[in-house]
Amino acid sequence: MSTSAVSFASAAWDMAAPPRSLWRDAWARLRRNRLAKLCLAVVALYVVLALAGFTPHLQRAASEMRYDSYELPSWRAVGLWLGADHLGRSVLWRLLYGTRIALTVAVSACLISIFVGTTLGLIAGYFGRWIDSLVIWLFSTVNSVPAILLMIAMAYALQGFETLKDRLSGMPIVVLALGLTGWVGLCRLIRGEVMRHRERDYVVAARAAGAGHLRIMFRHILPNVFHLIIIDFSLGMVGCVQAEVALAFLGLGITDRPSWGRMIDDAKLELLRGVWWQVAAATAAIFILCLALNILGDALRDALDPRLRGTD
Amino acid sequence: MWAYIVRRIFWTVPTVLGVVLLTFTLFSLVSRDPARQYAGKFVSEEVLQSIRHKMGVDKPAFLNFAAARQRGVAGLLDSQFFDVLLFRFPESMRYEQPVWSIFARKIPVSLAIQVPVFVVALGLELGLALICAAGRGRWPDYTITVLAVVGLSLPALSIYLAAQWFFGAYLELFPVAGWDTGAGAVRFAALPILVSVVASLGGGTRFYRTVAVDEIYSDYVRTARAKGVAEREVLLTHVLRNVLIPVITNTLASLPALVLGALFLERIFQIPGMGGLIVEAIFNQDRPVVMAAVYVISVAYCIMLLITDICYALVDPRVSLR
Amino acid sequence: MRKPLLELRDLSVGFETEGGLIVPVRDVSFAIYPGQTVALVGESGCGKSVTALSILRLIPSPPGRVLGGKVLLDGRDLLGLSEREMRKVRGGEIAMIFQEPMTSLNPVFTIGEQIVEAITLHQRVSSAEAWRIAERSLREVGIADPQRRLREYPHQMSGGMRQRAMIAMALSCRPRLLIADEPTTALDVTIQAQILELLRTLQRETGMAILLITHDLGVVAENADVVGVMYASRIVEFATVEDLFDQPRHPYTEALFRSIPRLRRRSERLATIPGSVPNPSDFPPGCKFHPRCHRCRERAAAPGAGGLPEPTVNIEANGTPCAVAARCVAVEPPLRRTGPRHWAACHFVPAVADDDAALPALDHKRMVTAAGVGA
Repeated sequence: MSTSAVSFASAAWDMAAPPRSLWRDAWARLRRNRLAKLCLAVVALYVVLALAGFTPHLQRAASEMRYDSYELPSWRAVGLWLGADHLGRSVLWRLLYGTRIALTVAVSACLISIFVGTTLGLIAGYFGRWIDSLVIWLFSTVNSVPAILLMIAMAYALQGFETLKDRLSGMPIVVLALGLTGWVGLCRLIRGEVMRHRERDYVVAARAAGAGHLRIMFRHILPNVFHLIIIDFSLGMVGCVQAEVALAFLGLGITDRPSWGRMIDDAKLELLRGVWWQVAAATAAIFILCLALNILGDALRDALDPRLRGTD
Repeated sequence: MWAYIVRRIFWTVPTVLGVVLLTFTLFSLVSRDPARQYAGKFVSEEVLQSIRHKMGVDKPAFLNFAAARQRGVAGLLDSQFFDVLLFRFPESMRYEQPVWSIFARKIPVSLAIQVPVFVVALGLELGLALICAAGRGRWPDYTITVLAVVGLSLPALSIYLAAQWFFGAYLELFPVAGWDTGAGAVRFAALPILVSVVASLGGGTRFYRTVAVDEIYSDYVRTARAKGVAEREVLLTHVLRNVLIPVITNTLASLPALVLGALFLERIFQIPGMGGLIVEAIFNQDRPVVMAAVYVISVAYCIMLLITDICYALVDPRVSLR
Repeated sequence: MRKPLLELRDLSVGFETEGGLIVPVRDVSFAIYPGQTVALVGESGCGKSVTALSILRLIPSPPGRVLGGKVLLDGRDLLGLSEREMRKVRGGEIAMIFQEPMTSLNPVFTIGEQIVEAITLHQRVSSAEAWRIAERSLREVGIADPQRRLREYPHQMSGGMRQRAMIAMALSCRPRLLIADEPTTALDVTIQAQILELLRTLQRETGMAILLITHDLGVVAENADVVGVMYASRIVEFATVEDLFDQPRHPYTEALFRSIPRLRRRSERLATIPGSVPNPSDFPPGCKFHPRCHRCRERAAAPGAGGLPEPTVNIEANGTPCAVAARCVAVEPPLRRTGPRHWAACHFVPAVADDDAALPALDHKRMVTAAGVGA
């Protein structure tokens, strides 16, 4: 019995109610965490803004060149609250539109890496033997290439596909590059958990009742490792948003739509001339989202960590 | 222990092969027409052919049966796949020099920045992590953790740009960009080093803090306290030794990335290192350089991971007897 | 009249949690005499481990803190000592061993290094002398080939041997009190017996006192001189081991004894205590045991002494309503002396007048008969 102060206190508190499921415990714990609720609200706000980006109004507003080049931020028009860029476009509208791009890219990439990571982790942990060795080989290989380099290599390789690059503004390239790079961590975690669960009685019982492999994997084991997926999703989004910035900087990012990465990239020369508003706006947008996601991810991890429940 | 080491070495081979396959797949199989990518739309087919030849993409993918008839095994292996496997990289399209000699020029510059960053950052991160563990739950822990999360959430690029503008252009304390050889490099390296340390502190501190705090709640720490060991000794003797194990894993494994240089840092501060080279090569569609860089760094990474595991076996008594 | 070695007076310890203050130790008082073995017995969650840790002030300070009371070692209040003075006590005058020997020893240091650390902290000896003392300690606990074992790591030893090494480490500085927190719970049954035998032998040789924390009544029967039964963060009964086994007074202790399966008696089912241990954040009013207590229900049904009916109250226990004595719901019974060698906290156990200090303290050593205790 470890004297972890947090686990002792939490365990003492959790003994208060009759045993409940992991999810209800976690939800109860999250509800008590005011900071986490605030972050959840912030993320929800971003989602709303992202959805707004699908409307034609915002699209038009983001590409209209209404103002003077590098016009300073001022109160006189809503579009000028954050100033104008070198083509006279409103930074504010571009920023808001960029939310849509950022979240679309991040969510799609995360979904891909979650899908790949979970599937591979499940089959590796469950079946073991040569399948396990194969998956380990796969993720050792992918892991051996530093993430940035891998993204670069993938983005570079996919550049030749004209449709992906020009007609879809390079979004699939970015999404694929991010998604196919980020699955390793989750895969490893899930594989470990599945291997632990494989030996548990409920799996043996299910097999004794005649359940097939697929059913056991998806209906019995997967719900028990789902919390890892949630945590990975939240923290993976942070990585994706920041990686998009990196790719944009390298010219491998989204091509003709406004994205936060492009805005920061454009800013590199502007800044030395004293034009700060575009980079500050994009940085702030990224910072607030990443901060909220980080805190939320940590809170989720604390809430879902079975060790803190005092049992097991 | 030796069985473990041998097993690990054995395992590295398929991984390196995997990297070869990965590089090969991405650069030879997936990418469509690297020559055209490099040369653009308005070039004649002849020029494209010569470019293809220079890049080495006119060779067959796996095995060159045509050349085998004339040159036997050497000819058979004259293919794109074996070019990668055997480190046979063509010259850079832009510099028209062998890739190796370019690397040899650029790597030392990157190291000149990355090594100080690594050492200083590691020292600071460990120190901060131990402070957090010592004062867990109280104000030093809270402030450091908050600062770390803030640092993690800021895009590194913005930090670099902001620092460059503020300290370079505005306060004029450091040169904005550029490089010099020999001793003159110091004033050009100073700002990038500082900025890089600050930008990376967040992630490392948070990681080491988790490790340190985990250890501090261990049962053996409770036993040590029950014996009458002072809190400081507990941290520096008992906890640190156990913390060192994941530290070694973490740091050794990130060493090859040093060679990579910080891609963005070097680009922004115009430092002629590996990172800047790679960025440039991407812009110029200089396939040999990008491919060689990806490959070489990855293989170095594999080897580094192997060395890490071996060190781990030497340091952690529990592993030695497996 | 000997003076007690250690006295706990009204010790209360609390934990700040996200849900409020939880108090796992409330007004715990008892005394340990030199050379005595006092067992603190109870189910998990009753507060016995926290009590033990509080003696050495090992409770992590946020979120735990001492809410009141004193811990007197030879008259000196340990709770008032500075951290530096406390460190001299830890391992020096009072030593502690824990339940899980595997995780309680540092995996990256050898056994020898860890024992020598304990020695050099409390004795002024050279390094070579310290290693010799360490080797002697290992021999005293029955570890063969101590020279070799000193250089081994914890994971290279079996569970029983690790626990012996922990005991050696604890005893190397000849403490006057050894606190043993469930020392055998994690071990095999046969090893359990050996370890307890070892502790008894060492106690005879060194004259140290032992505070034995356990949930196992069998261990208590074989090893303890004096027993304190804890329930819901308080001591509810305190007696010599013979008295306790002969005639338990508190209904909880009674129920515990009844739930032990006996080999010679035939029965259909295992007797259990209905309901479950309440947790500190949600204690019932009055006596904490009343929801599960047979006595307060019996008293409600039949009139008490003097022919007067007992005022009753209806409560809901385990979903079914029943009538219990009202005073059990209204007032928590204090721990009172109910005999020359017995304290109990129950309204229905008559107290005797107490001129001595109110502290439960019994300078008693067990008398072992051929038939054992409580057979």
